[in-house]
Amino acid sequence: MNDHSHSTIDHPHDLLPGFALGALDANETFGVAAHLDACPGCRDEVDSFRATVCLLPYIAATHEPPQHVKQQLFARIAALESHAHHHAAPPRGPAVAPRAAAPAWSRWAGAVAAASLLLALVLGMVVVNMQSRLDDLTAQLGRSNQPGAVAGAPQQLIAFVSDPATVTRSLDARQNGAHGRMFMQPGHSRAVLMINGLGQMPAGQQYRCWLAKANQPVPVCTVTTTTDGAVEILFDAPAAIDSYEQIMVTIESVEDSAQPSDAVVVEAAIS
Amino acid sequence: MAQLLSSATQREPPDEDVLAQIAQGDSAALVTLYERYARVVYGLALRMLGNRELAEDLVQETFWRVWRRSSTFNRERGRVAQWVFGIAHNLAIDELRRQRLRPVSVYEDDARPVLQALEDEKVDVAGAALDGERRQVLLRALERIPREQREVIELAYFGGLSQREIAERLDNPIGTVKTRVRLALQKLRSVLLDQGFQPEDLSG
Repeated sequence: MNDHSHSTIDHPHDLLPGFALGALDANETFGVAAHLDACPGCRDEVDSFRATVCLLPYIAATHEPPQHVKQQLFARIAALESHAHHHAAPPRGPAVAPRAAAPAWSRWAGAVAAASLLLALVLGMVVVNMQSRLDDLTAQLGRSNQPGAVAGAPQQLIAFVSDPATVTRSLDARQNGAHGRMFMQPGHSRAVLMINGLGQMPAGQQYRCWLAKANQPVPVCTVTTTTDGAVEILFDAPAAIDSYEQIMVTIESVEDSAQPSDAVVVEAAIS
Repeated sequence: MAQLLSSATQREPPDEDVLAQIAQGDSAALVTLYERYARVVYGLALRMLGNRELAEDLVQETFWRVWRRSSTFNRERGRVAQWVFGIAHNLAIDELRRQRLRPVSVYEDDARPVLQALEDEKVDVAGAALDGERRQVLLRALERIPREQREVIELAYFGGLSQREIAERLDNPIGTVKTRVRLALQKLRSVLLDQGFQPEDLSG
């Protein structure tokens, strides 16, 4: 965090108009957002600017999007709803599927080999979270500019983690309670993150995963945790995973921020 | 004239009620919201990104996120339109910044005449006409704010530049840029009120 950290800004009046416009850098945005949580006066000032800013889109000439945009959107929604219905998922929204009953875990609990135990952990987590995670993974990886969506993610996650060619990196905790591992195969773009101990994010904040190469951050995806703070992500990086120098998960206050904040939760050196 | 800009608040059902239905899983309600705002989102995306495919992706992603996050909307913190446009604008900024990190030619040609090739797919003729009149009101309001203030609004909002980046580009002190941003938004608000806009139409 630089000198504009939220802990040192009293009332950042000079930053509020820029905040409403989306014209601050990541550090400033984080600091102002944190300040606004505690300052109703500044919130009112930002809301006043935002009311004007929300008219600016009308300055651009409007155009009707092609019909296929609408069709694709609602097909995507229908596919999500169909999958949720078919697998009797919990209702859409913040609610998360409860832990699976013992049988899914106990099928593997008797194994003594470390690989089997690891697979049991993976399988248990995946079975527990499969329904809520599948649509979250689909949502996270659905954008055309993100690393490619991985169909059949839970099954592929299991296969990838248990592959003999897969190596791991321990994720160093920068936030109390968080810990995890990254599973990767040198020379390949696919990787898996498994993290535990993430606190629930308040409204307006989110976890975000990043890769870094030559000081250039590459956003991977938004990270959504279960109610018990667990996460597993299967993703394809734009390039071989070991061509990157670092992976990290940060706390962001800006939706789709292009620069990671200084609020790092876990991180690891890759190469 | 104020009615042009405030017509969203007079719609039936109100946007907030439509969004509440979306939060209940009503995809027909999302159709309603899409038909109200997709034109504006698409126009904004075209203006900022200069590429039809990216703009189409952005429209879809915006309303996908509206669908997925409808339950998080807090009607005490602003209007639905403001929230929808905020999602779209953030996505566009993210794309612009991603392009600056790894420059790739995404424009349809060097001069970016993407709008010339657009097919007019007017579905809601009345809505499109209202949008056009609304745009004229805003353009006239913008003409009444100083050029240097208009410039920073254009660079910040439509160009996706941060205040620091604007200061570097214009070779101005960062304090000057911050002041111009503040004055521009204040002046625009004042002009709109002078033009008959009601304060509650500008309230968050």
